[in-house]
Amino acid sequence: MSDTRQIQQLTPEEVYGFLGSRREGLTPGEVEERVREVGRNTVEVRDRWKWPRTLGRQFSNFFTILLFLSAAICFVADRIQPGESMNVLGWALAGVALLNALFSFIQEYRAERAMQALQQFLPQRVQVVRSGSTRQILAEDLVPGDLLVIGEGDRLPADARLVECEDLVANNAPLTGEAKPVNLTGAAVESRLIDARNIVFAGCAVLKGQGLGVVFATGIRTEFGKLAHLSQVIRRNPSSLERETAHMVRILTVIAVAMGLAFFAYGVASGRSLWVNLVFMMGIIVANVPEGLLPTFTLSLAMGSLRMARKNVLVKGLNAVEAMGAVHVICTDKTGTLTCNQLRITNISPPLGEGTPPVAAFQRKLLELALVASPVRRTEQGFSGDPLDVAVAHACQEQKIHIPDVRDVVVKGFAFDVGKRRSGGVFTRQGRRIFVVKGAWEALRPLLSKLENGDNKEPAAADPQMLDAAEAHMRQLAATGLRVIAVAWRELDEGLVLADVVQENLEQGLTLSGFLGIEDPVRLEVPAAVRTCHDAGIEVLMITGDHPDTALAVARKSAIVAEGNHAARILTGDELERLTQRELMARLDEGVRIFARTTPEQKMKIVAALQAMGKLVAMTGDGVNDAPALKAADVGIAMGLSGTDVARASAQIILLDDNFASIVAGVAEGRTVFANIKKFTNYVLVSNGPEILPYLIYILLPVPLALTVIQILSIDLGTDIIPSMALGQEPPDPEEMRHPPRRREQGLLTPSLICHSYLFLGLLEALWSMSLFFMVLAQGGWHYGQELGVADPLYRSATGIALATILLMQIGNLIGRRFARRSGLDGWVLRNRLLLAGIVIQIVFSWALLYTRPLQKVLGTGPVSWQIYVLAWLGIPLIFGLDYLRKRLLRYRAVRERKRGGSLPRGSGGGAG
Amino acid sequence: MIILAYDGSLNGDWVSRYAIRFAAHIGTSLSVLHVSDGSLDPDQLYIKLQRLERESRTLGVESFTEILPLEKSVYFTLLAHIPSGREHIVVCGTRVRTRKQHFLSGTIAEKLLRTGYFPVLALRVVQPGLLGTPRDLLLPMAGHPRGFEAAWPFFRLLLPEVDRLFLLRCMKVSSLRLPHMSEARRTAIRLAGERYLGVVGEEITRRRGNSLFRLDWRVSICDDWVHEVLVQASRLKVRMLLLGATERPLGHRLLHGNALERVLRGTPCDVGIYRSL
Repeated sequence: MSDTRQIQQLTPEEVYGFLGSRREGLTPGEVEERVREVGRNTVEVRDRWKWPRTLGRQFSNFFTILLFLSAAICFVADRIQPGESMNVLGWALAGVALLNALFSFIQEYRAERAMQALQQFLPQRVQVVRSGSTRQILAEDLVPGDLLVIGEGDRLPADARLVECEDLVANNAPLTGEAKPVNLTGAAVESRLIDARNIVFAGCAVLKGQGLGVVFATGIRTEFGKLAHLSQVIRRNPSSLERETAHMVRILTVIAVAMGLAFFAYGVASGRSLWVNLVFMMGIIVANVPEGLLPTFTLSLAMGSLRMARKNVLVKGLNAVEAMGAVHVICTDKTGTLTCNQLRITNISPPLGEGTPPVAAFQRKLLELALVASPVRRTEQGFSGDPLDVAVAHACQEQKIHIPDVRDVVVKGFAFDVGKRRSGGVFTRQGRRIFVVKGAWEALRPLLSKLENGDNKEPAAADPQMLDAAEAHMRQLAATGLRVIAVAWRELDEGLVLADVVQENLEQGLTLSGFLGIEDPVRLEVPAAVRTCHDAGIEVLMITGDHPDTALAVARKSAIVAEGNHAARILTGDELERLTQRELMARLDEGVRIFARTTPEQKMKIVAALQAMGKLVAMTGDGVNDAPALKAADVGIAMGLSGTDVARASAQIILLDDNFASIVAGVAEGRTVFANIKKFTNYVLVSNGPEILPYLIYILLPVPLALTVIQILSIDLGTDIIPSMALGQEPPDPEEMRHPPRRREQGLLTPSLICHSYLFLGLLEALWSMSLFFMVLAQGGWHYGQELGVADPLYRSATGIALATILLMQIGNLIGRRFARRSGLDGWVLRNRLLLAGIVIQIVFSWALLYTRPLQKVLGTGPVSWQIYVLAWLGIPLIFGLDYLRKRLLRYRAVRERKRGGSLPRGSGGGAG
Repeated sequence: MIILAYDGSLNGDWVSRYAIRFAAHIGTSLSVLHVSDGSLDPDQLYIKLQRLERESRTLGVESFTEILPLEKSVYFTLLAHIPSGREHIVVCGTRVRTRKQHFLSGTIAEKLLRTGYFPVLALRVVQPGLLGTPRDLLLPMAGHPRGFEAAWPFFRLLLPEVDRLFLLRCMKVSSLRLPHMSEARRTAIRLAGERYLGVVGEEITRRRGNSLFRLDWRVSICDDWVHEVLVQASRLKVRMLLLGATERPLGHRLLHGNALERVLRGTPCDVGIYRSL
């Protein structure tokens, strides 16, 4: 013999026995013992080292370490060459690193608001019976076995099994996402724990009635506690940009330090002094590290987030800007996101829907019946209540039905029951009492015994054939995208006492009056937005609690599935529940795109399966119980209008207008941001070539150093910043949403980008600037092997022209970086003000460092003849022209490959190509 | 036979409900051993034992209660009275130690788990409302070559009521390496975990008989398996975690802390820690 009963299946007496409790409640000794065993009733996962650890993590990532290292280099350089304001640069870099770390820390700290929002669902104090008397205690002191006193308006502090119940109605929205009230009972029930009507759950609210419940789960062991636990402990995967940035910084740092150390060792071995070698090593490291790149990243993302905000996409964490552009799948809600969330009754039809169009009298009668089971209140703003009930009231108004005439004669109402998926009411008409039920067809079908036919004839018996015919009609309506509600009724016996009656006893022998077809129109802009997603290789999955036929119809209207698509694209919540993760992955692979009749908690399962398939997932949500899925997804998107505080706090992105089209706009912006980041990374790395080469030549040959550390920093942290930001501002490329999302393993720093930056453009800049450097030296009488002091006017002029040449050539590089395949010379050059500003800065700075006293003093430069300066200007067409030639060659090769049957390789948005 | 080491505490009462059901599920008798160390009022103990016998009778389980006089210590008294061998399974509870620091370290349950003379299942019950009938189980697998063999004697105790069984293989990598791992490496690690769980899954399918529970598994690449197990327990809404106990050298425990203690402290559901022979 085996007893596998659970708490909801026990009688109230058994509940006391099994939980070691009694009507008089627990004694203080028992409470103490239970607190010791299971802990306090709190959903907060306490970790006193959490914040120090989080702060420490911000300072221990490669990004921050590199910036601090650069700052340290500046301070060392200041000690070596005082008076060149290197310490100012050092402080600036340290400030950027500090700000960056603090900014990330504050972002993580703000995410803790989810916990604060969740706490609001739990009461501070509760009433319990202990040692025979009712007392008020802190909710945190509640233990399993405590007898909880429940009253109207209470928030529930723990999961409890009801043992006494008087008209208790609860709202379980925080757990189920379903805002409709649930009638509760104290009797044993046969159902799953989560669906049991004799259980009250932590975080939920009591709408009316009173009762007593024995607490059986507290803290994170409650259903609400599990939500809260997940909201706190789930770690979001680092975004691809975070990973790629870290990867890039790591590689560049390793290269810089390795080169620095190698040449330091070479210098020592070749007999140079230690101090000189140290300076030299610093120079190599500074030349290799693009100090300005990382702050520019942050600026670019911040500007991207501002642009997104203008498109109604509010970004909470900067990394989410780029993460949006990388998603492979968008899992979206239906109501309010794809549709307008404006319910309207557009079809009123008899059970079989055949014959002549239903007459007005029939429609009025059906609407009146539906209104009986639709508790709505009239407020100054209009009707208030469930959107569906409000839609019924509006339809009644259109039919000139006087609402109070119906609602005022309702003698008993049965609130919508989530488990039963129906609501009901009893009203009196001409001395007769009529019970009405309104709900899902599947819920009403087993209760029917007769069917009306839309005229005044006697209803027909509801045999299986008739019921099948009615179901076929219902499905036909649902297939057009309507949400279909069935309305049924029965006349009650005169002697029946309503006060004692339970709903189940009334729900038998019902006559189906007809169906109401409710439409929630798809937003106008949605189909185009979904098609854009498809063009961009992004799958759109719809997750809804609606009937599969309705879901399929909306999916068709939204272009999520094609018109001719069959039902294999749909998966219901019940099927989903039965599938293992691998089976779900297989179904997704086969093309399932619609999840119907699902619960919010099933979203987690969908996210997990998609992520296991290697996809980056964006998930929308609005309810409290969406919070874990929003955190688990790579990009959590909360609804700004209809979302709860918990959902908004758990998401990275808030959709201000709840509109799917805004998500797509956000994706496009995210892709643009990544493409632009790649452009300016390419741009910045080019100047590393001419910065490194002088040091290599200097250590290997007896020649003067062409570029000093301060001059390198003036490029990296000075003149390159504005042009980089300008590239970060480049407008979206229309092609950006016509290719699939980049692969997860596709990094920012690709071998082709490195080759293009260092070995092609970088080398060009290095060769031209070094040529002019040696030309000035040669014209000034320098001979090979001759040493020149840093104050020597010849040396200052030579190093000045080397620096000026690099700055000018960066202009050609800047324009060329705008597109991977096109020249970069178009009208937008003039409209991108930052780009113009960048060009002007490079020109003015290249001139000023040669011919103005203050800059000559700071940078250790001197003037050159105008003929030499003109030669430096020639570097612009040289680098631009040769790079354009390379683009043409690549384009020619791509066209040739396409002609051969291959596809055009994807442009890298301005990268190396 | 199921041997319940019963201490008369509240947790002991909750654990006893599991023990009775285990005996009922496999159709065996229940032996209740209580060491009289004077910490419990005899009248209270009598009432509790009466209830235990009553509940056993309700489920058709034959139970025998022995109140043992304290010898050298509670542990040695139990050891002297529990027969060695794999025929009997010892069920005991993990009790919170002073100042709420430990649930296992230094307890009788830990000593019994370390004994190695008989199979032991130590239970921490945090959801007494389940009444010893957890229907959804999470079984983290450490990748041991024995696979499911070690867990089977304990899993079969729960078998009749299990609806869903989740296997979890946490593939541990260093926290420095985790954020920077390439996609190819991740895939390779995940596949290795999948292969292991595939073999375990086949073994379970072979052993499950007519039981219709749903079997699912997850592979997770993580740097902290305890954290991952607790997250998955909440995520999958399981009612019980079933963990195998292994001996770790002192150095490892000093360096990494006691992982089982962390699970017991932060668990969102009941936990069973088993050690088979």
